[in-house]
Amino acid sequence: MRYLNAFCYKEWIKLKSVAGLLLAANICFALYLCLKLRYVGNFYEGEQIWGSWIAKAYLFYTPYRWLPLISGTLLGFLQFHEESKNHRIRLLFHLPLNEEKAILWHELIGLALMLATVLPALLVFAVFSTFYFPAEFLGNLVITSFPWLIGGIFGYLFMALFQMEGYKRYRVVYLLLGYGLIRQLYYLDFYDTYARILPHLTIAAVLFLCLPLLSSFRYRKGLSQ
Amino acid sequence: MSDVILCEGLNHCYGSRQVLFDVSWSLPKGRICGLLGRNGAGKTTTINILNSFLTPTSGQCLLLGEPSHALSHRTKQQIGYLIEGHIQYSFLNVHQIERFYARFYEKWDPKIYFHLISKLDITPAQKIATMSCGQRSQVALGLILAQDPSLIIFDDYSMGLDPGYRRLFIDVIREYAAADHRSILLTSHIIQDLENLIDDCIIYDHGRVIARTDLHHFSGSYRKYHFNNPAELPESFDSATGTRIEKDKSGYSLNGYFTAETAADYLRARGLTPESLTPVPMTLEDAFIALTGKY
Repeated sequence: MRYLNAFCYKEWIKLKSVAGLLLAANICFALYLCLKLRYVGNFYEGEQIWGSWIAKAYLFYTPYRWLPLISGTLLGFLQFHEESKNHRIRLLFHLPLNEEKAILWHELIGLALMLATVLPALLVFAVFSTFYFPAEFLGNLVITSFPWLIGGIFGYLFMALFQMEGYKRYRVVYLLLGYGLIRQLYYLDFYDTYARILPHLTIAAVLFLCLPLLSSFRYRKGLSQ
Repeated sequence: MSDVILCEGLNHCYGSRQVLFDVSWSLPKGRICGLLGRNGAGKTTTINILNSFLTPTSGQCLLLGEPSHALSHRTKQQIGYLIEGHIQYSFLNVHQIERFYARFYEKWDPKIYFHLISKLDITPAQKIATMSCGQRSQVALGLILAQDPSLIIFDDYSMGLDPGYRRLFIDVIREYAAADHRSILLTSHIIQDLENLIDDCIIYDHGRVIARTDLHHFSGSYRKYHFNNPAELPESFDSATGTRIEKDKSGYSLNGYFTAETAADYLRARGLTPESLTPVPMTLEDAFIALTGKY
Protein backbone atom coordinates (compact mmCIF):
# COMPACT_ATOMS: atom_id res chain seq x y z
CA MET A 1 0.00 0.00 0.00
CA ARG A 2 2.85 2.41 0.67
CA TYR A 3 3.91 2.07 -2.98
CA LEU A 4 0.37 2.92 -4.07
CA ASN A 5 0.37 5.88 -1.71
CA ALA A 6 3.64 7.06 -3.22
CA PHE A 7 2.23 6.81 -6.75
CA CYS A 8 -0.96 8.63 -5.70
CA TYR A 9 1.18 11.38 -4.20
CA LYS A 10 3.30 11.77 -7.35
CA GLU A 11 0.37 11.59 -9.76
CA TRP A 12 -1.66 14.04 -7.71
CA ILE A 13 1.15 16.60 -7.88
CA LYS A 14 1.53 15.96 -11.59
CA LEU A 15 -2.14 16.13 -12.53
CA LYS A 16 -3.91 18.19 -9.90
CA SER A 17 -3.94 21.40 -11.97
CA VAL A 18 -5.33 19.82 -15.10
CA ALA A 19 -7.75 17.64 -13.11
CA GLY A 20 -9.00 20.76 -11.32
CA LEU A 21 -9.52 22.57 -14.61
CA LEU A 22 -11.32 19.59 -16.13
CA LEU A 23 -13.55 19.27 -13.08
CA ALA A 24 -14.42 22.98 -13.28
CA ALA A 25 -15.08 22.71 -17.02
CA ASN A 26 -17.30 19.65 -16.56
CA ILE A 27 -19.33 21.27 -13.79
CA CYS A 28 -19.66 24.54 -15.67
CA PHE A 29 -20.88 22.73 -18.75
CA ALA A 30 -23.31 20.69 -16.65
CA LEU A 31 -24.67 23.86 -15.07
CA TYR A 32 -25.04 25.46 -18.48
CA LEU A 33 -27.07 22.46 -19.68
CA CYS A 34 -29.18 22.56 -16.52
CA LEU A 35 -29.96 26.24 -17.11
CA LYS A 36 -30.88 25.35 -20.67
CA LEU A 37 -33.21 22.64 -19.36
CA ARG A 38 -34.74 25.15 -16.96
CA TYR A 39 -35.40 27.48 -19.85
CA VAL A 40 -37.03 24.69 -21.88
CA GLY A 41 -38.99 23.57 -18.80
CA ASN A 42 -40.36 27.06 -18.29
CA PHE A 43 -41.61 27.41 -21.85
CA TYR A 44 -42.84 23.91 -22.71
CA GLU A 45 -45.16 21.39 -21.13
CA GLY A 46 -43.67 18.30 -19.54
CA GLU A 47 -45.41 16.05 -22.09
CA GLN A 48 -43.83 17.97 -24.97
CA ILE A 49 -40.36 17.66 -23.47
CA TRP A 50 -40.86 13.98 -22.74
CA GLY A 51 -42.21 13.42 -26.23
CA SER A 52 -39.31 15.14 -27.96
CA TRP A 53 -36.97 13.15 -25.81
CA ILE A 54 -38.46 9.79 -26.77
CA ALA A 55 -39.62 10.51 -30.32
CA LYS A 56 -37.02 12.98 -31.54
CA ALA A 57 -34.06 11.77 -29.48
CA TYR A 58 -33.56 15.21 -28.03
CA LEU A 59 -31.68 14.63 -24.80
CA PHE A 60 -30.82 17.86 -23.08
CA TYR A 61 -27.50 16.45 -21.86
CA THR A 62 -26.36 15.05 -25.27
CA PRO A 63 -23.81 17.88 -25.85
CA TYR A 64 -22.10 16.63 -22.71
CA ARG A 65 -21.13 13.33 -24.36
CA TRP A 66 -17.72 14.53 -25.54
CA LEU A 67 -16.51 15.79 -22.17
CA PRO A 68 -15.65 12.39 -20.65
CA LEU A 69 -13.73 11.55 -23.82
CA ILE A 70 -11.88 14.87 -23.74
CA SER A 71 -11.17 14.46 -20.02
CA GLY A 72 -9.90 10.89 -20.39
CA THR A 73 -7.79 11.56 -23.45
CA LEU A 74 -6.25 14.71 -21.99
CA LEU A 75 -5.45 13.07 -18.66
CA GLY A 76 -3.98 10.00 -20.39
CA PHE A 77 -1.90 12.19 -22.64
CA LEU A 78 -0.52 14.39 -19.87
CA GLN A 79 0.01 11.62 -17.34
CA PHE A 80 1.95 9.32 -19.62
CA HIS A 81 3.66 12.06 -21.58
CA GLU A 82 5.33 13.23 -18.37
CA GLU A 83 6.06 9.62 -17.47
CA SER A 84 7.67 8.64 -20.74
CA LYS A 85 9.41 11.73 -22.12
CA ASN A 86 13.22 11.55 -22.13
CA HIS A 87 12.91 7.83 -21.32
CA ARG A 88 11.72 8.81 -17.84
CA ILE A 89 9.71 5.59 -17.78
CA ARG A 90 13.01 3.94 -16.81
CA LEU A 91 12.70 5.55 -13.40
CA LEU A 92 9.42 3.73 -12.91
CA PHE A 93 10.74 0.40 -14.16
CA HIS A 94 13.77 0.68 -11.92
CA LEU A 95 11.69 0.94 -8.75
CA PRO A 96 11.74 -2.19 -6.58
CA LEU A 97 8.33 -3.54 -7.58
CA ASN A 98 6.71 -5.41 -10.39
CA GLU A 99 6.71 -3.26 -13.55
CA GLU A 100 3.23 -4.34 -14.67
CA LYS A 101 1.82 -3.56 -11.27
CA ALA A 102 3.42 -0.11 -11.35
CA ILE A 103 1.82 0.66 -14.72
CA LEU A 104 -1.57 -0.70 -13.63
CA TRP A 105 -1.51 1.46 -10.52
CA HIS A 106 -0.76 4.51 -12.63
CA GLU A 107 -3.71 3.63 -14.85
CA LEU A 108 -6.06 3.18 -11.92
CA ILE A 109 -4.99 6.49 -10.43
CA GLY A 110 -5.47 8.24 -13.78
CA LEU A 111 -8.88 6.65 -14.32
CA ALA A 112 -9.96 7.51 -10.79
CA LEU A 113 -9.01 11.13 -11.47
CA MET A 114 -10.90 11.03 -14.75
CA LEU A 115 -14.04 9.75 -13.06
CA ALA A 116 -13.59 12.34 -10.32
CA THR A 117 -13.70 15.08 -12.96
CA VAL A 118 -16.62 13.61 -14.89
CA LEU A 119 -19.00 12.07 -12.36
CA PRO A 120 -19.77 15.27 -10.39
CA ALA A 121 -21.21 16.77 -13.56
CA LEU A 122 -23.49 13.76 -14.00
CA LEU A 123 -24.52 14.17 -10.40
CA VAL A 124 -25.46 17.77 -11.14
CA PHE A 125 -27.63 16.56 -14.06
CA ALA A 126 -29.22 13.91 -11.91
CA VAL A 127 -30.14 16.27 -9.09
CA PHE A 128 -31.35 19.02 -11.38
CA SER A 129 -33.39 16.69 -13.58
CA THR A 130 -35.43 15.47 -10.61
CA PHE A 131 -37.13 18.87 -10.62
CA TYR A 132 -38.51 18.22 -14.08
CA PHE A 133 -38.59 14.49 -14.74
CA PRO A 134 -39.85 11.37 -13.00
CA ALA A 135 -37.47 8.98 -11.24
CA GLU A 136 -37.27 6.75 -14.32
CA PHE A 137 -35.22 9.49 -15.92
CA LEU A 138 -32.31 8.93 -13.55
CA GLY A 139 -31.90 5.32 -14.62
CA ASN A 140 -32.04 6.36 -18.27
CA LEU A 141 -29.48 9.07 -17.67
CA VAL A 142 -27.03 6.57 -16.20
CA ILE A 143 -27.62 4.02 -18.96
CA THR A 144 -27.46 6.57 -21.76
CA SER A 145 -24.33 8.29 -20.51
CA PHE A 146 -22.52 5.08 -19.60
CA PRO A 147 -21.02 4.52 -23.09
CA TRP A 148 -19.63 8.06 -22.95
CA LEU A 149 -17.86 7.22 -19.71
CA ILE A 150 -16.52 4.10 -21.37
CA GLY A 151 -15.43 6.33 -24.27
CA GLY A 152 -13.47 8.43 -21.76
CA ILE A 153 -11.85 5.30 -20.33
CA PHE A 154 -10.93 4.02 -23.81
CA GLY A 155 -9.56 7.44 -24.71
CA TYR A 156 -7.41 7.41 -21.59
CA LEU A 157 -6.10 3.87 -22.15
CA PHE A 158 -5.31 4.35 -25.84
CA MET A 159 -3.51 7.58 -25.03
CA ALA A 160 -1.44 5.76 -22.39
CA LEU A 161 -0.65 3.04 -24.94
CA PHE A 162 0.25 5.69 -27.51
CA GLN A 163 2.49 7.69 -25.16
CA MET A 164 4.54 4.74 -23.96
CA GLU A 165 5.17 3.39 -27.44
CA GLY A 166 8.42 4.64 -28.92
CA TYR A 167 7.94 3.26 -32.42
CA LYS A 168 6.05 5.74 -34.66
CA ARG A 169 4.30 3.19 -36.87
CA TYR A 170 2.83 1.47 -33.86
CA ARG A 171 1.69 4.82 -32.50
CA VAL A 172 -0.23 5.53 -35.68
CA VAL A 173 -1.81 2.05 -35.56
CA TYR A 174 -2.85 2.61 -31.94
CA LEU A 175 -4.39 5.98 -32.79
CA LEU A 176 -6.39 4.50 -35.66
CA LEU A 177 -7.51 1.55 -33.57
CA GLY A 178 -8.49 3.83 -30.70
CA TYR A 179 -10.39 6.17 -33.00
CA GLY A 180 -12.22 3.29 -34.67
CA LEU A 181 -13.21 1.73 -31.38
CA ILE A 182 -14.27 4.93 -29.66
CA ARG A 183 -16.24 6.04 -32.71
CA GLN A 184 -18.52 3.04 -32.20
CA LEU A 185 -19.67 4.52 -28.90
CA TYR A 186 -20.87 7.78 -30.42
CA TYR A 187 -22.95 6.70 -33.38
CA LEU A 188 -26.37 7.23 -31.81
CA ASP A 189 -27.65 9.62 -29.15
CA PHE A 190 -31.05 8.00 -28.48
CA TYR A 191 -31.64 7.30 -24.87
CA ASP A 192 -30.76 3.75 -23.80
CA THR A 193 -29.18 3.16 -27.24
CA TYR A 194 -26.36 1.01 -25.89
CA ALA A 195 -28.32 -0.48 -22.98
CA ARG A 196 -28.02 -4.06 -24.17
CA ILE A 197 -24.26 -4.04 -24.57
CA LEU A 198 -23.35 -2.23 -21.37
CA PRO A 199 -22.04 -5.43 -19.72
CA HIS A 200 -19.88 -6.09 -22.79
CA LEU A 201 -18.54 -2.55 -22.74
CA THR A 202 -17.73 -2.90 -19.05
CA ILE A 203 -15.84 -6.13 -19.66
CA ALA A 204 -13.99 -4.53 -22.60
CA ALA A 205 -12.98 -1.57 -20.41
CA VAL A 206 -11.60 -3.91 -17.76
CA LEU A 207 -9.74 -5.98 -20.34
CA PHE A 208 -8.35 -2.87 -22.00
CA LEU A 209 -6.63 -1.98 -18.75
CA CYS A 210 -3.99 -4.40 -20.00
CA LEU A 211 -3.41 -2.42 -23.22
CA PRO A 212 -0.75 -0.05 -21.87
CA LEU A 213 1.09 -3.10 -20.55
CA LEU A 214 1.80 -3.97 -24.17
CA SER A 215 3.77 -0.75 -24.65
CA SER A 216 5.49 -1.29 -21.32
CA PHE A 217 6.47 -4.84 -22.32
CA ARG A 218 7.73 -3.68 -25.72
CA TYR A 219 9.82 -0.96 -24.07
CA ARG A 220 11.42 -3.34 -21.59
CA LYS A 221 12.25 -5.79 -24.36
CA GLY A 222 13.85 -3.01 -26.37
CA LEU A 223 11.29 -3.43 -29.16
CA SER A 224 10.14 0.17 -29.18
CA GLN A 225 13.46 2.01 -28.80
CA MET B 1 29.65 -14.12 -4.68
CA SER B 2 32.60 -11.89 -5.62
CA ASP B 3 31.30 -10.42 -8.89
CA VAL B 4 28.42 -7.97 -8.58
CA ILE B 5 28.06 -7.81 -12.35
CA LEU B 6 28.83 -10.65 -14.70
CA CYS B 7 28.27 -10.33 -18.44
CA GLU B 8 28.74 -13.51 -20.42
CA GLY B 9 28.84 -13.76 -24.20
CA LEU B 10 26.57 -10.81 -24.89
CA ASN B 11 25.55 -10.37 -28.49
CA HIS B 12 22.96 -7.85 -29.56
CA CYS B 13 21.49 -6.81 -32.90
CA TYR B 14 19.27 -3.89 -33.83
CA GLY B 15 17.52 -5.41 -36.82
CA SER B 16 20.28 -6.76 -39.03
CA ARG B 17 22.95 -4.54 -37.48
CA GLN B 18 24.99 -6.25 -34.78
CA VAL B 19 26.18 -3.84 -32.09
CA LEU B 20 27.61 -6.18 -29.45
CA PHE B 21 29.95 -9.05 -30.27
CA ASP B 22 30.52 -11.71 -27.64
CA VAL B 23 30.98 -9.19 -24.82
CA SER B 24 32.11 -10.70 -21.52
CA TRP B 25 33.36 -8.94 -18.43
CA SER B 26 32.76 -8.76 -14.71
CA LEU B 27 32.75 -6.18 -11.95
CA PRO B 28 34.18 -7.49 -8.67
CA LYS B 29 32.63 -6.34 -5.42
CA GLY B 30 33.97 -3.08 -4.02
CA ARG B 31 35.51 -1.85 -7.27
CA ILE B 32 34.79 1.28 -9.28
CA CYS B 33 34.83 0.44 -12.94
CA GLY B 34 34.68 2.74 -15.95
CA LEU B 35 32.92 1.44 -19.03
CA LEU B 36 34.62 3.44 -21.74
CA GLY B 37 34.29 3.71 -25.47
CA ARG B 38 33.58 6.06 -28.32
CA ASN B 39 30.05 7.07 -29.28
CA GLY B 40 28.27 4.04 -30.70
CA ALA B 41 30.72 1.58 -29.16
CA GLY B 42 27.95 -0.31 -27.34
CA LYS B 43 28.14 1.13 -23.82
CA THR B 44 24.55 2.31 -23.64
CA THR B 45 23.30 -0.94 -25.16
CA THR B 46 25.14 -2.80 -22.40
CA ILE B 47 23.75 -0.48 -19.73
CA ASN B 48 20.25 -1.01 -21.15
CA ILE B 49 20.70 -4.77 -21.00
CA LEU B 50 21.95 -4.51 -17.41
CA ASN B 51 18.84 -2.54 -16.50
CA SER B 52 16.58 -4.95 -18.41
CA PHE B 53 15.53 -2.31 -20.96
CA LEU B 54 16.87 -4.59 -23.67
CA THR B 55 16.93 -8.33 -24.05
CA PRO B 56 20.22 -9.39 -25.63
CA THR B 57 20.11 -11.48 -28.78
CA SER B 58 22.24 -14.00 -26.90
CA GLY B 59 24.26 -14.16 -23.71
CA GLN B 60 23.27 -12.97 -20.27
CA CYS B 61 24.07 -10.54 -17.47
CA LEU B 62 23.92 -11.33 -13.80
CA LEU B 63 23.51 -8.52 -11.29
CA LEU B 64 24.17 -9.46 -7.69
CA GLY B 65 23.77 -13.06 -8.79
CA GLU B 66 20.40 -12.66 -10.53
CA PRO B 67 19.66 -12.46 -14.27
CA SER B 68 19.27 -8.79 -15.23
CA HIS B 69 15.90 -9.41 -16.91
CA ALA B 70 14.39 -11.02 -13.82
CA LEU B 71 15.66 -9.10 -10.82
CA SER B 72 13.84 -9.66 -7.55
CA HIS B 73 12.46 -6.65 -5.68
CA ARG B 74 15.06 -7.18 -2.96
CA THR B 75 17.90 -7.04 -5.48
CA LYS B 76 16.43 -3.98 -7.15
CA GLN B 77 16.53 -2.28 -3.77
CA GLN B 78 20.30 -2.71 -3.82
CA ILE B 79 20.89 -1.20 -7.24
CA GLY B 80 21.07 2.53 -7.87
CA TYR B 81 20.80 3.80 -11.41
CA LEU B 82 21.53 7.25 -12.76
CA ILE B 83 19.91 7.77 -16.15
CA GLU B 84 21.93 9.61 -18.79
CA GLY B 85 21.16 13.33 -18.50
CA HIS B 86 20.29 13.12 -14.77
CA ILE B 87 16.65 12.48 -15.65
CA GLN B 88 14.23 12.77 -12.73
CA TYR B 89 10.60 13.68 -12.12
CA SER B 90 10.99 17.34 -12.97
CA PHE B 91 7.47 18.33 -11.88
CA LEU B 92 8.36 17.57 -8.23
CA ASN B 93 10.38 19.77 -5.90
CA VAL B 94 13.27 18.51 -3.77
CA HIS B 95 11.09 17.64 -0.78
CA GLN B 96 8.32 16.03 -2.79
CA ILE B 97 10.71 13.79 -4.70
CA GLU B 98 12.40 12.68 -1.49
CA ARG B 99 9.02 11.85 0.01
CA PHE B 100 8.09 9.87 -3.09
CA TYR B 101 11.22 7.71 -3.23
CA ALA B 102 11.48 7.19 0.52
CA ARG B 103 8.50 4.81 0.42
CA PHE B 104 10.21 2.40 -1.96
CA TYR B 105 13.52 1.74 -0.20
CA GLU B 106 13.86 -0.01 3.12
CA LYS B 107 17.28 1.45 3.89
CA TRP B 108 16.36 4.98 2.83
CA ASP B 109 18.49 7.59 4.58
CA PRO B 110 17.20 11.15 4.02
CA LYS B 111 20.25 12.66 5.77
CA ILE B 112 22.51 11.80 2.83
CA TYR B 113 20.08 13.36 0.39
CA PHE B 114 19.47 16.56 2.33
CA HIS B 115 23.19 16.92 3.02
CA LEU B 116 23.82 17.08 -0.73
CA ILE B 117 20.84 19.33 -1.34
CA SER B 118 22.00 21.77 1.34
CA LYS B 119 25.03 22.58 -0.82
CA LEU B 120 22.83 23.82 -3.64
CA ASP B 121 21.55 27.34 -4.03
CA ILE B 122 17.90 26.41 -4.38
CA THR B 123 14.66 27.17 -2.58
CA PRO B 124 12.75 24.31 -0.88
CA ALA B 125 9.76 24.72 -3.20
CA GLN B 126 11.83 24.92 -6.36
CA LYS B 127 10.82 22.35 -8.93
CA ILE B 128 13.51 20.19 -10.47
CA ALA B 129 12.48 21.44 -13.91
CA THR B 130 13.74 24.93 -13.03
CA MET B 131 17.15 23.76 -11.78
CA SER B 132 20.42 23.89 -13.67
CA CYS B 133 21.90 20.67 -15.00
CA GLY B 134 24.47 20.67 -12.18
CA GLN B 135 21.81 21.08 -9.51
CA ARG B 136 19.71 18.33 -11.07
CA SER B 137 22.73 16.05 -11.04
CA GLN B 138 23.10 16.53 -7.29
CA VAL B 139 19.42 15.84 -6.69
CA ALA B 140 19.65 12.65 -8.77
CA LEU B 141 22.85 11.61 -7.01
CA GLY B 142 21.37 12.33 -3.58
CA LEU B 143 18.33 10.19 -4.35
CA ILE B 144 20.54 7.29 -5.39
CA LEU B 145 22.85 7.51 -2.40
CA ALA B 146 19.90 7.77 0.01
CA GLN B 147 18.82 4.32 -1.17
CA ASP B 148 22.08 3.00 0.26
CA PRO B 149 22.61 0.68 -2.71
CA SER B 150 25.48 -1.79 -2.87
CA LEU B 151 25.81 -1.37 -6.64
CA ILE B 152 25.40 1.89 -8.55
CA ILE B 153 25.28 2.30 -12.31
CA PHE B 154 25.98 5.83 -13.57
CA ASP B 155 25.18 6.25 -17.25
CA ASP B 156 27.24 9.20 -18.51
CA TYR B 157 27.23 11.06 -15.21
CA SER B 158 29.28 13.94 -16.63
CA MET B 159 26.81 14.85 -19.36
CA GLY B 160 26.14 18.58 -19.29
CA LEU B 161 28.10 19.25 -16.09
CA ASP B 162 30.61 22.07 -15.73
CA PRO B 163 34.04 21.25 -14.22
CA GLY B 164 32.93 22.32 -10.73
CA TYR B 165 29.92 20.03 -10.64
CA ARG B 166 31.94 17.21 -12.22
CA ARG B 167 34.47 17.54 -9.44
CA LEU B 168 31.75 17.63 -6.80
CA PHE B 169 30.11 14.56 -8.31
CA ILE B 170 33.37 12.64 -8.32
CA ASP B 171 34.23 13.66 -4.77
CA VAL B 172 30.87 12.43 -3.53
CA ILE B 173 31.12 9.14 -5.44
CA ARG B 174 34.63 8.48 -4.19
CA GLU B 175 33.71 9.23 -0.59
CA TYR B 176 30.61 7.06 -0.81
CA ALA B 177 32.33 4.12 -2.46
CA ALA B 178 35.19 4.11 0.04
CA ALA B 179 32.86 4.05 3.03
CA ASP B 180 31.50 0.54 2.63
CA HIS B 181 33.15 -1.17 -0.35
CA ARG B 182 30.33 -0.35 -2.69
CA SER B 183 30.59 -1.30 -6.32
CA ILE B 184 30.17 1.28 -9.05
CA LEU B 185 29.95 1.00 -12.81
CA LEU B 186 30.07 4.26 -14.69
CA THR B 187 30.35 5.59 -18.18
CA SER B 188 31.67 8.98 -19.17
CA HIS B 189 33.30 10.69 -22.09
CA ILE B 190 35.43 12.92 -19.83
CA ILE B 191 38.28 10.46 -19.47
CA GLN B 192 40.60 12.74 -17.51
CA ASP B 193 38.08 12.94 -14.68
CA LEU B 194 38.27 9.20 -14.21
CA GLU B 195 42.02 8.97 -13.61
CA ASN B 196 41.68 9.42 -9.89
CA LEU B 197 38.34 7.72 -9.53
CA ILE B 198 38.11 4.33 -11.17
CA ASP B 199 39.95 1.16 -10.23
CA ASP B 200 39.29 -0.79 -13.42
CA CYS B 201 38.34 0.02 -16.94
CA ILE B 202 36.59 -1.85 -19.69
CA ILE B 203 37.07 -0.35 -23.11
CA TYR B 204 34.71 -1.03 -25.97
CA ASP B 205 35.38 -0.52 -29.64
CA HIS B 206 32.69 -1.18 -32.23
CA GLY B 207 30.82 -3.51 -29.93
CA ARG B 208 33.83 -5.52 -28.77
CA VAL B 209 35.77 -5.42 -25.54
CA ILE B 210 39.29 -4.42 -26.49
CA ALA B 211 40.64 -3.85 -22.98
CA ARG B 212 39.55 -5.12 -19.59
CA THR B 213 42.11 -4.20 -17.03
CA ASP B 214 43.20 -2.47 -13.87
CA LEU B 215 43.43 1.26 -14.62
CA HIS B 216 46.99 1.66 -13.36
CA HIS B 217 48.11 -1.32 -15.38
CA PHE B 218 46.51 0.15 -18.47
CA SER B 219 47.85 3.68 -18.06
CA GLY B 220 51.24 2.34 -17.01
CA SER B 221 51.75 -0.22 -19.74
CA TYR B 222 49.84 1.00 -22.77
CA ARG B 223 52.37 3.13 -24.62
CA LYS B 224 52.72 5.20 -27.71
CA TYR B 225 55.89 5.37 -29.80
CA HIS B 226 56.52 7.70 -32.68
CA PHE B 227 58.51 6.45 -35.65
CA ASN B 228 59.25 7.44 -39.22
CA ASN B 229 59.05 5.25 -42.23
CA PRO B 230 60.10 6.25 -45.72
CA ALA B 231 57.34 4.24 -47.35
CA GLU B 232 53.62 4.73 -46.92
CA LEU B 233 52.17 2.40 -44.27
CA PRO B 234 48.55 1.30 -43.98
CA GLU B 235 46.91 2.09 -40.64
CA SER B 236 46.04 -1.07 -38.74
CA PHE B 237 44.51 -2.27 -35.49
CA ASP B 238 44.72 -5.67 -33.86
CA SER B 239 41.81 -5.87 -31.39
CA ALA B 240 43.21 -9.02 -29.75
CA THR B 241 46.42 -7.29 -28.61
CA GLY B 242 45.27 -3.64 -28.71
CA THR B 243 48.11 -2.81 -31.07
CA ARG B 244 47.50 0.06 -33.44
CA ILE B 245 49.65 1.67 -36.11
CA GLU B 246 48.38 5.04 -37.25
CA LYS B 247 49.59 8.00 -39.18
CA ASP B 248 50.30 11.19 -37.25
CA LYS B 249 51.50 14.68 -38.21
CA SER B 250 55.14 13.85 -38.73
CA GLY B 251 55.20 10.13 -39.29
CA TYR B 252 53.58 7.16 -37.64
CA SER B 253 52.74 6.03 -34.15
CA LEU B 254 52.80 2.54 -32.74
CA ASN B 255 50.37 2.12 -29.83
CA GLY B 256 50.22 -0.97 -27.66
CA TYR B 257 51.37 -2.82 -24.57
CA PHE B 258 55.04 -2.40 -25.40
CA THR B 259 58.31 -1.53 -23.79
CA ALA B 260 60.86 0.24 -26.00
CA GLU B 261 62.49 -3.12 -26.74
CA THR B 262 59.31 -5.02 -27.60
CA ALA B 263 58.11 -2.10 -29.74
CA ALA B 264 61.36 -2.18 -31.71
CA ASP B 265 61.06 -5.97 -32.09
CA TYR B 266 57.48 -5.58 -33.28
CA LEU B 267 58.53 -3.15 -36.00
CA ARG B 268 61.55 -5.23 -37.03
CA ALA B 269 59.35 -8.30 -37.36
CA ARG B 270 57.32 -6.36 -39.92
CA GLY B 271 60.35 -5.22 -41.88
CA LEU B 272 60.19 -1.67 -40.53
CA THR B 273 63.05 0.40 -39.16
CA PRO B 274 62.82 1.16 -35.44
CA GLU B 275 65.80 3.56 -35.35
CA SER B 276 63.65 6.69 -35.00
CA LEU B 277 61.40 5.11 -32.35
CA THR B 278 60.69 7.64 -29.58
CA PRO B 279 58.24 7.23 -26.69
CA VAL B 280 55.40 9.76 -26.45
CA PRO B 281 54.18 10.69 -22.94
CA MET B 282 50.46 10.07 -22.52
CA THR B 283 47.63 10.89 -20.14
CA LEU B 284 44.83 8.38 -19.61
CA GLU B 285 42.80 10.17 -22.27
CA ASP B 286 45.71 9.96 -24.70
CA ALA B 287 46.01 6.25 -23.99
CA PHE B 288 42.28 5.80 -24.52
CA ILE B 289 42.44 7.58 -27.88
CA ALA B 290 45.59 5.70 -28.82
CA LEU B 291 43.77 2.44 -28.19
CA THR B 292 40.41 3.30 -29.75
CA GLY B 293 41.71 5.46 -32.60
CA LYS B 294 41.36 9.15 -33.31
CA TYR B 295 38.34 9.20 -35.55
